[in-house]
Amino acid sequence: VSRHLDLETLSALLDSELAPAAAAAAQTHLAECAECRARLEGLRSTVSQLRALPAASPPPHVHEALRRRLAMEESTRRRLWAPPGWPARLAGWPATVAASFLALACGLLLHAYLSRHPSLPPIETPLAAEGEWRATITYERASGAEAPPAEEAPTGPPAPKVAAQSKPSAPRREYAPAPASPPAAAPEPMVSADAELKERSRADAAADALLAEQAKRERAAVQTAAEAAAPANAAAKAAPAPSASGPMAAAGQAEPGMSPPVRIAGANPDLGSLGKLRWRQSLILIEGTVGVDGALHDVDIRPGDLDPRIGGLLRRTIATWRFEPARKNGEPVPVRYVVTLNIDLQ
Amino acid sequence: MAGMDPHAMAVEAFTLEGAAVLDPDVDLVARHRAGDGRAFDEVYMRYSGMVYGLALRLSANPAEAEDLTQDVFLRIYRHLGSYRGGSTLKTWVYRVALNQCRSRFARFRPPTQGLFEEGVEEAPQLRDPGRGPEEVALSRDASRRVAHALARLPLVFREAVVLRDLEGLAYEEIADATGVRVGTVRSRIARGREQLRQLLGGAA
Repeated sequence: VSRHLDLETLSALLDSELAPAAAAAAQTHLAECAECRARLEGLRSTVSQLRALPAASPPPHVHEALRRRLAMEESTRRRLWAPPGWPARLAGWPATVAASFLALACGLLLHAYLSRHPSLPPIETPLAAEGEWRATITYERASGAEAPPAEEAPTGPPAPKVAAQSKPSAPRREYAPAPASPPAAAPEPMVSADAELKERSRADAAADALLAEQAKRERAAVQTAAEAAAPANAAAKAAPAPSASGPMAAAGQAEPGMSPPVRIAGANPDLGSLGKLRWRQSLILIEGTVGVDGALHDVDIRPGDLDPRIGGLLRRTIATWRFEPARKNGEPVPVRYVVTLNIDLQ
Repeated sequence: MAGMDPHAMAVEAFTLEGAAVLDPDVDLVARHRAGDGRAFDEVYMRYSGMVYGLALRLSANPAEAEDLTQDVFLRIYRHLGSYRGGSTLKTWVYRVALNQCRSRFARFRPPTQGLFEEGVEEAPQLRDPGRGPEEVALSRDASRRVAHALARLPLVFREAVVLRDLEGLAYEEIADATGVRVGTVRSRIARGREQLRQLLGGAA
């Protein structure tokens, strides 16, 4: 019997975070060592108890309170003539002192106002046409379905079965693959967000204008695409896909060998059919997983306190959707699918 | 994970009709910078559950988790314009959230003090209609026990375990969010799980 497996190896095995060679060696050992198998099971059971903890979401009043604080901050900033994204403390301390007085004054006024008007007044209007909303869809690999790429041998054999099984599916949690970039060098265990963020903003000050300009162009392009898409499906199909040489080439984040899910059946939600509604929401998020079976599963529509008529319409519409599943190297894979509906309330 | 495909995070965006749009993270940030208030709402909607969940599991206190969530998003609002890609917006948000939690815990709680206050763990929202009241009660009991044990782990272990097992991040993402090497992440997760196992009295 070879040497016992250490704790880290057992734990990493549960996450499929071992190199294939190491995973294979671990499996060989596990096959002949009851002691290590028992320890692995102990860890696995702990992990599944942990993952059974219910997912939580913040109560709605958190958002309300946040909005008030933001409104105060915005009014202060306007008084300081500072551009958006400009930390108030950079405006120098005399301005900061002035700002605190102003903030106090504005805060009191705003508080008085906001306590009478807890949220923006809803707009009572029918949505006449599809042109009054625009949808953006994002998708990302739903992980947990497949072992992550190998360390030393990307083309090597897949991780052993026991490792793959050890990732129980947790429908409410996002299992996303690794980030797009190597971790930034962060020497201290306690990174100060402020320092880091300020550092970034200073270093990137020059790039800022450039990026803003680029973003403006990109936005224009997106809007054109969306506008072209919105009025009629036929027109949308004719809408030119953004060329790779344009500013959108920067978005080249797609995983190689990965094709997006394509909707092949089902209608767009006809929000106009709801008639006159008091639209509070200008933004609705629909999230789900497009499975290999081509259906949208585990659909979650946010915000949770959406008008039930809108929620109902969306659910009925979504139920009609069918997809050609996303593919990775020709193999269908499940992906997380997010539809963002931006409703134009003027 | 060192050889992880740099493009592994595939996020593409397109309209309902299939026309592609640019990187949604960059799009969101650009819209925020241009003064589009809905961009921040979208950020909140996307990430508030994640931030609140993290704060709740780290603090084991719903009221504190609410405060932390507000503070984190206030900070995100101020600094979103300086987000430059490099890491995904998601890991960036986690980083801001972790820092906020750490500095709050450092300010308000001496490290020797138990991090769990009795009775503050709210009853979990169970949405399973197929279960009887006894089962629900049992499961609530189990949740409380696990949350209680989790709160007793040292903060760095707790962070690693929560990010991995509750938030579902990959090791590389955790390294990015916590600012340590992947090897350290691996070791913290392992030790955190082991301590948790002992606290929970071994296999259930």
